[in-house]
Amino acid sequence: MRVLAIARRELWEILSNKKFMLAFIVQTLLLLALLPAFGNLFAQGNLALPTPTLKGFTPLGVVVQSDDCSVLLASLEQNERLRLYSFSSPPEEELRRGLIAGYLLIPPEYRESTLEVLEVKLFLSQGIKSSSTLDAVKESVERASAELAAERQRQLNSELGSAITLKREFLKPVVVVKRGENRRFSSFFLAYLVPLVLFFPIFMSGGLVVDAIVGEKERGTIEALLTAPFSRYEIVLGKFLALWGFVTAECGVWIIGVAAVGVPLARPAEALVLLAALNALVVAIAILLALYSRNLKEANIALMLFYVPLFVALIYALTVEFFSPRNFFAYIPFNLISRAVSGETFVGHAFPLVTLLLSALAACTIAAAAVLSYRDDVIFGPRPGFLKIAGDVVEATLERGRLAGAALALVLSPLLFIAATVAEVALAALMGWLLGLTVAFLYTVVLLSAVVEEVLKLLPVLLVLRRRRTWVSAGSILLVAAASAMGFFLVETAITGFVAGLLFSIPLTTLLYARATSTLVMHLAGGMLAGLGVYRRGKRGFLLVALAIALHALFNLIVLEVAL
Amino acid sequence: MMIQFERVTKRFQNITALSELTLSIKKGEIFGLVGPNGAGKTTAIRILCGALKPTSGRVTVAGMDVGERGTEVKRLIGYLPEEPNLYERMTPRQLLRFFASLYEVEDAEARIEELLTLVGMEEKVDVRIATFSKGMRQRISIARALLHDPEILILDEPTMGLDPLTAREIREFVASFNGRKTVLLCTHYMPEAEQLCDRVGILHRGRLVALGSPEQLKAELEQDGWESPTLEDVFLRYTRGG
Repeated sequence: MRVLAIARRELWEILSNKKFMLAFIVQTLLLLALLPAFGNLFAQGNLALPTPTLKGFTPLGVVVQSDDCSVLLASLEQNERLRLYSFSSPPEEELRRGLIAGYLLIPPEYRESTLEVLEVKLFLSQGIKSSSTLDAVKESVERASAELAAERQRQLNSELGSAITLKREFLKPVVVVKRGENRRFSSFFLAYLVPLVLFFPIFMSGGLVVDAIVGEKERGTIEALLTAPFSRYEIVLGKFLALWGFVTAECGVWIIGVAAVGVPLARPAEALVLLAALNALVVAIAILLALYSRNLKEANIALMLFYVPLFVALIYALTVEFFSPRNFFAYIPFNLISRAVSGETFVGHAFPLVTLLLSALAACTIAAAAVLSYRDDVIFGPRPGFLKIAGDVVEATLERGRLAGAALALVLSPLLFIAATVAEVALAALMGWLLGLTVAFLYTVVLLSAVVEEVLKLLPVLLVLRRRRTWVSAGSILLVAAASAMGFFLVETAITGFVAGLLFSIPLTTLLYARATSTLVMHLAGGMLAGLGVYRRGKRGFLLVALAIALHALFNLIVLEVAL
Repeated sequence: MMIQFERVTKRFQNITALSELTLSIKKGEIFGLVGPNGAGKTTAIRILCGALKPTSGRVTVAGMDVGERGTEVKRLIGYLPEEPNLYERMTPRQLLRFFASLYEVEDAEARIEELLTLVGMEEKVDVRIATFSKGMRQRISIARALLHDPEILILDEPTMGLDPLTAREIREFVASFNGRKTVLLCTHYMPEAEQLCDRVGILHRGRLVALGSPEQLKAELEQDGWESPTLEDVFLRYTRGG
């Protein structure tokens, strides 16, 4: 109830801020006035703009001169990204006028029943980004090719790599006609501009956050709140709820406004859910930054440094998704919102996954802000540095016992992995310069990487041993060391898996199984031996650390031998 | 004892704002905490109110540890900060309604009317606080501090920067609590402390350097050869060493 009281007051503060509300009303009216104008412009624009992410928005001409091409035609028709137009002769005029993005010529000699390698030609307009059209056609041709190859293999019991080859040709010169006959909204408008407009409230939330958090500190009104009978997390949560609720409501108003002026939003409810989740994270990060800032000026700079890269990321993600879609980008929140607006389907479970992930991250960020708000030096000054805060968090965690120590080791492992990678790359560069790219260089690098990794994996153990703690024993040190090794292994496997999947299409599960039976054993054994060594100290301790490094180095050498 | 500071120390990085403060305040007493600027008065008050955590030591209020049972302790305390910082866009009625909801005050509307009449602001209930003078804001702050009828009232420089008439009214107001509420009054205006307080503690550089009733403290000075010393003389002696 107290959280809601704080949220209500905060909301009241925003709504009673005449300047802000006036700006919001003017922005909304401008949006409603300008959007139809832009819509008209794009509706009369060039439909041949690449429209890869939208269902049926890549207009492709198909010239069928063969009467034996059913597999390819079926594959083209199955492709949701393509909108097909049939022609009996090459549609040069339509291409010149920009009514189609290109055309595919299926020549008379193309006969799927023969055992020849078949060839089709794709004619594209040069000057217009054509990669997305090419991608879409390639996808259909490859599917048909695989189907034909499989059929032939079945018939002949022999292997044939590819059945169809696709030749691409650019036509020039091209005159893009600005005013076509089709007056539909173009995909660019729906998939790019409308989502961009819907993100505006998120980028304007900074001023509200600064006023709600730093304003309260600067005006001194925070003191009365801190002496009222509730916890600080309730203040942070109340303010977050108000700010998040208001910005999400703004997005909702804009969605209604955009729909009201006739923009055909495909799935507005899903777009709003994603915007709400994204808002939650952005507002939470902004609250964290504002809370840490000493004054309005500092908060404004911090938020600018946050919002500008966020805006650049938004433009980049939308652009890449629009002109050259990649699977990875289908999970970027901005692009999911773009898909919800334009009607493009989500990849797999991207919608619930991304919504959940954003919400979870927002919850973690707000929890971090709440923890920060309990620090007297953050509220009343002098403000502590990042390292001081990090050190205090580590100390407070380690005070909680061995399990907290193990959890901390797991959490630190991504940082340790990054540090290890940087150190290993630097050492490799140095060795390369000293030894040249020889076999000796390879052996030296794998041996040095064993030293680097074993030393860095020890960091959580060293943090535990830095102070005398009641729970420290050989067993608990082994637990922390094992957690550190496990964390390091998991991060290493995830990153290796991502790269292997990208480059060699090796499934993560296969890699995980292979590494779990070899690398994990080495990491665990090495980490625990080294941990015990540091705990014991003295000559024996040193020997244990050396043994751990030797074990790791031996493992690396075996892997290198196998690889060579 | 209503309030007890037990060897309370507060450090801000390398600065020690309060050092080993030990102090007890009885129920119904008006206690004056005096000291020059930067002596640690506001820090002590903030620790007592639960706005700051001590680096070491503990504070209890009505037998409850502020660190452990902060929410319950806060319900017993009404705090008037040094600066009457209020939400400017609100009216007194809106502000008091908000705090009444935080303190879960029963029959809030009647209580708000009662308090605004008590502090002489009944005609300004629906006027924005932004238009108020410092004296008017101070009155609203007092109403806010009394809203939940706390047993303990903590007043940090309640008359600073006010015109003599308003300052006098507030002093009379504080005096009226004698015996009814426990009051911790922070001030560096000695005549005010002398007039209102049953006992006075002098803080200097974070340490409690003198403690007693104004009469006791003055008597100590007389024994040292001073003629008709005032509380101000006592203050100067302990803070300047003169």
